[in-house]
Amino acid sequence: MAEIKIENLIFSYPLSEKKVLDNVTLSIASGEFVLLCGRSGCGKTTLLRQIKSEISPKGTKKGKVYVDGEDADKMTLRNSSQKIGFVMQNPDNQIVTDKVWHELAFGLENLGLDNEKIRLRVAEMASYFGISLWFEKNVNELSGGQKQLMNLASVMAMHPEVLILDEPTSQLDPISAENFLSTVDKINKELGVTVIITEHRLEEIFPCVDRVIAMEEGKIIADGTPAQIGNRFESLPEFLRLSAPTAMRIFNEVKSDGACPVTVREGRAWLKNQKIFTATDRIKDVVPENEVVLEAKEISFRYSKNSHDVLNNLSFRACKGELLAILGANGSGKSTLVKLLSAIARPYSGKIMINSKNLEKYKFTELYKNVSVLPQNVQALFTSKTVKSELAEVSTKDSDVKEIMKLLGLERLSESHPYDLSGGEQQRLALAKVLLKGTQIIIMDEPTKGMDAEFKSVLADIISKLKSEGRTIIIISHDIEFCAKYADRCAMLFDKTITSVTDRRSFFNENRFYTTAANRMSRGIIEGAITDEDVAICLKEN
Amino acid sequence: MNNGFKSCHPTVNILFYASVVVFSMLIKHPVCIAISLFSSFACYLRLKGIAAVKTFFFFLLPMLVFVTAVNGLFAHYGVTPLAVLPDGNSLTFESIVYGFVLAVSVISVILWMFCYNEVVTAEKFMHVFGKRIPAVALVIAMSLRFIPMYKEQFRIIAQAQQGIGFDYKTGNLIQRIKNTGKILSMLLTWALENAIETADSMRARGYGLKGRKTYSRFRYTVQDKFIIAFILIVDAVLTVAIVYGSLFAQYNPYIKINPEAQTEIFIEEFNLVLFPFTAFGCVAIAVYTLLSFLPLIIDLKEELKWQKLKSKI
Repeated sequence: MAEIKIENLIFSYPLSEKKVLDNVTLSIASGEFVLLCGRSGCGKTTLLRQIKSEISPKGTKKGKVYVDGEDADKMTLRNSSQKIGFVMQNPDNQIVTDKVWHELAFGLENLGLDNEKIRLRVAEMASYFGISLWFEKNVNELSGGQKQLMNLASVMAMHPEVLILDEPTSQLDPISAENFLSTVDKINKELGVTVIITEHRLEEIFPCVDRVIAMEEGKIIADGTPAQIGNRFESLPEFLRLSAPTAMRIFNEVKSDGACPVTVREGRAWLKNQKIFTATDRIKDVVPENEVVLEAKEISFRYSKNSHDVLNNLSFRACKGELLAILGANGSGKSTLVKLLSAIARPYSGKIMINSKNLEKYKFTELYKNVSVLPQNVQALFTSKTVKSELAEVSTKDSDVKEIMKLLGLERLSESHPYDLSGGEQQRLALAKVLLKGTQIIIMDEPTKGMDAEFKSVLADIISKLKSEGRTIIIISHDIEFCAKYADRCAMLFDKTITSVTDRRSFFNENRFYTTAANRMSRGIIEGAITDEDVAICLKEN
Repeated sequence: MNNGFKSCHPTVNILFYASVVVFSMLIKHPVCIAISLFSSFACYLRLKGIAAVKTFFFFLLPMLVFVTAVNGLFAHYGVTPLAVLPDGNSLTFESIVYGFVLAVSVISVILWMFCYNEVVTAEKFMHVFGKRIPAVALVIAMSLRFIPMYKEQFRIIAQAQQGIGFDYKTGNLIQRIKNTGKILSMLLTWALENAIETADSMRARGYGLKGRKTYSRFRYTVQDKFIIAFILIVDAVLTVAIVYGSLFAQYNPYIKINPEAQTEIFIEEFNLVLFPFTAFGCVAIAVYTLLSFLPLIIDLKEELKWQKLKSKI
């Protein structure tokens, strides 16, 4: 398989002085599994694309990239497309054709292989990736996870020697993401393909990789095995410390010595030998029982007369000034619930009360003075050419616009086009637009999807500010870690209904699998700890 | 169902439907017209089950009555008046008969088209016509991918806008047009933005290399080849029969069927001239029957094979 050498690479975009890549020198051995991490905009994607010349961005470039001793810039399209596979972030945008089988064959068609050869390779890929069952389907019938797996398979069908993945799981739910990563791991371990991957969620990927490379402002600032990175925690930048695996974070929080644990299993082994100073019953938070602002009373919903119920007799309450998290697996009806709460769809039985008034009785404009929704796909909110005019559309008051821009750190970007912003910035802009509505109830559909740890803590700060203003936030999420850390109460949507709404501690303590890494790590050793802070507190002498 | 005629090679499917549609339109011989109707309905029934019966009674039968009536009331050719209409024109035997024949042949063609839609998927169509021009084939495959995607995105945008209190469904007509226009413009921005990534993904997988091929999942079996040969032979026989007038039928000014034969039967009351079938006429009708019921014959053969295999187990 192929090795990659990057020598003194300097790159800047046209009309810009800023060096996006600043003297990067790197050598990746054949068959290595490398994780490249860094905050968004640090030059990760630019670096990855330099390896594959046909999709590398235009700009000024110095230095060389070699793939198997061959200059990447001089590689032919045939050679490069065959040798280097590239999977991008958004599962949808990479798909070219309408059928799964055709998508798998697309690259092979381009190479001009004959029919029998393509048939063989496609069949091989379909069985290796477990696609056989949905092989004949239309691509728009697939889930996000299936789409991304298909994208991977269609790249692997060309038998590449290097596989490059640019945040491949950021748009997937945790279960699909894990499944995807384990497939990548399998490709690396079984086929010896060199893999370079960038990721935000490091919990699952850290144990798989041979080597972690961290970048900041176009430079490589750390390079080593996962355990080595864990032992050099203090010297690392904050984003990496925030997003590192739980075991690693707790280990470094209490400044323990010895080898740094990476997985939950290693974390447990380490934790057993630690002295526990505080029992968790001392850490308890009080959930205030305020007035109820939103209440769903036994609502049921189905999409058409002959279909099955998506939601059945679902009830819950949301109180003033709280963050209520509704968790649930894919397809459990979470998005449908958002539609019902925001009057985009109507339940066929049951009532939704907002401020003790039936939702049905609200006039259109009146309702949306009380409720607003941050959608999952935030680009769907953008209508204007600049960030400023985007916000001016919601509020004519200049001072309000300014204030919200300050709160979300958008001042610097006020003249940019919304589509030119990074994922995190787009999320902030969308949030600004929703907050500017000034509604009392804010529903957020997967607000942390594809976001890095830094954004999450920014979001948490904003939410706590909103809570202090007495506003109610309902988040619909897959993100267990985020909900465990910040939610006041959690609810599980399962089997078409909400089973229980409890405070976050009892919620996650009752679960065994569907819970945080910190909880899994400390179960049986420290009872009732659900976040890494909880564990760290118990381990510290006070 | 995934066997029988439906799983034959696309060339077989398309050749078959092209043949039956063309001959249903060209041959106006009453026996052939009847065969067309029965076979096309039987095939559609086989494909759609009870829904086919509904279509027949609620859509096709009313159409039959309507076309026959319209032709009878507004066309006044023919030599056999049955009654005089209020406008002074006469209602003729010939125009009613021809109206009926026309209606039945139109209905058969429609039924064949319905069957075609069920059997010939876009993929099969592409296989037959897209091979010669791979660029066009890819454009069609991409359109089939992107149109549903854009539809979905339109819905997402509309709902997201509603979620923050902008509505495109209410308000007066001008407002609604304006709002829909706004969503379409958002959709366009979104589509163009994302198309860049699609282009990269295509390029990364070697799009643009010389010698691109179009992959197809279909292979000819011996049976496929045999069926194609059969259809072509039947087509030839029927063409000859049409050219030599063996299946001749005339409805204007008076009805004349099979004039090639020597002896004639004349029914004076209706000015009806009937000739017995010629030998070649009979052959033509026989092969036409075989052709029209071909999908059912293939399905039946397949079914019998299964039954036999099952009984062995």
